[in-house]
Amino acid sequence: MARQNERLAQAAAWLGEEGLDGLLVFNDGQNSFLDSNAVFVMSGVRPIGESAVVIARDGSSTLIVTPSWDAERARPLSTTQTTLAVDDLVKTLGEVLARAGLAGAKLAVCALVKQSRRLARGVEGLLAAPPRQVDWLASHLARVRNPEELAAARKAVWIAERGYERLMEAARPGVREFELAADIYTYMKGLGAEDNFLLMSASQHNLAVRAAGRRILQEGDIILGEITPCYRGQFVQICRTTVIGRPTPVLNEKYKLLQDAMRRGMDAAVPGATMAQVTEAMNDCFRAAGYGDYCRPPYMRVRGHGLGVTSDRPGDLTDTSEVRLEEGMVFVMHPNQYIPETGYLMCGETVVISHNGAISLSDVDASLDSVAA
Amino acid sequence: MLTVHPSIILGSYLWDEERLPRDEFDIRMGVIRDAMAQRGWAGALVYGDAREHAALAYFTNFIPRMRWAMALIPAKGEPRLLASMSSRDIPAMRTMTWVPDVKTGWEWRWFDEWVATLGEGGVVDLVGIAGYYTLISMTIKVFDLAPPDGAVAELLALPS
Repeated sequence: MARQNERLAQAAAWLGEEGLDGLLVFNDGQNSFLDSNAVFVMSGVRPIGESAVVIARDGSSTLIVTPSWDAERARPLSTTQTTLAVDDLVKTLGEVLARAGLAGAKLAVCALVKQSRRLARGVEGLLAAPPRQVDWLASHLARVRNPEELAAARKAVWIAERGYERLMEAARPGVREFELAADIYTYMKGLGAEDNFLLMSASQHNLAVRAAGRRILQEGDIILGEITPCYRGQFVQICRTTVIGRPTPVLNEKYKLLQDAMRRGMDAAVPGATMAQVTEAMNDCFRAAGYGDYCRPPYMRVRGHGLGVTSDRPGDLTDTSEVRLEEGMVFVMHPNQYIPETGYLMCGETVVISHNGAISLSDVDASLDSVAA
Repeated sequence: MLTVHPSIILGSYLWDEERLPRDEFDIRMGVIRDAMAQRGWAGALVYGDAREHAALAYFTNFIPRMRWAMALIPAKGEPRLLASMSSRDIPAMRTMTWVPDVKTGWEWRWFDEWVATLGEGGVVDLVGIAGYYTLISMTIKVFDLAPPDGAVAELLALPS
């Protein structure tokens, strides 16, 4: 018996409203922590190869994954009525469409544009008429996390915080960045993180965070950690800054700016507020301190962003985004910032939107931490 | 090997000059420049993304950890590498390639500027079509590039 997936029912209802007969969603096995994986949203399965979900207006649903030997993994995870594991996606998709009476029907496609040209042309060859492209649909339907997803996100944040504790234990002069990154990566994997967009690097004056390299940690280094584990399809992120040795007074002073910006942003992030309003609330802190000219790349990227692979909504926290927040949305807020006196600093939490503003999912929010030199 | 694809490619992809000296890339660039000379091409675009990046890595050592990158190789002169990353991240991207001129792929003025150096009527070709065909489609349509011989019918059939 497949687990319940309300997104399938929502998709079927949407088809009815739009006068469409069926929806086809695609994924090629690629996962981005910034994007929605449409097949995962509709089936609960992160495929390893080309895959599709077929949803009919009557609510019937079929997941098709490749290769065929992935059946054992995919079937128990799938929330669709039927799960097929095959080696030729296009051929099987044609058979499924024919059986469901959808071969000549009015169809919509989601994420086909992200597939290989070979696959896209094969799918288009099955269809009697050009389908409606609804690449936004899976992300839109999943824009508010359900209770199961929110619980998984909380678990992922718990893993991230344990990973950071591990970093604090293991970081010391003489350790290479990649050794430290491997340590905390495997530690979080052991705690259940199925994936991890882990950036971790150090410098005496950082320009940005990057993937771990060969640098040997030394006294006075500022370690930046963008710790981003995924648990049951829920990516989360915490951003942390750790000094090896005693932080300087100016570093303490400037880090408080980031914490203030974080608080201001969380207060502003109420349902109905736009992403631009939240961004401006955060940027105001930096402007008031004389860093208004630094509120742009290359001194920062965005003030936060949505998190895959369920839904990337509400998108990037930028001063031009008019996307409005909704209660239950989950994303990361991070007023990470280059400051000329200190270099790049990081401070960020995964938050859920409540009627009072954003609530951090972390037990302990970011502070300027230090480890022994 | 097929497995659940990670959200970011892990590992050390820094350009290690001791293992792959600049001379090696000079030889490789010589091959593509000979091909350009034989065909009368003014430049070549070598595309790669997190999934398929063999050609891009061969010529530049650059492997996109996420999203895409594209080497813009003129028949004469130094290449430019566009990486689909914020300008904030470009210093880190430079450590992965011998190409000194690395720019963000999010500001297409860097592409326009490079195309302008080819002069009027320059012929540009695509080498290694792979990955997101939206990017290829965008490149061809927005910048009016000539697709390879025989590819016109296929490319015109792509949805916009």
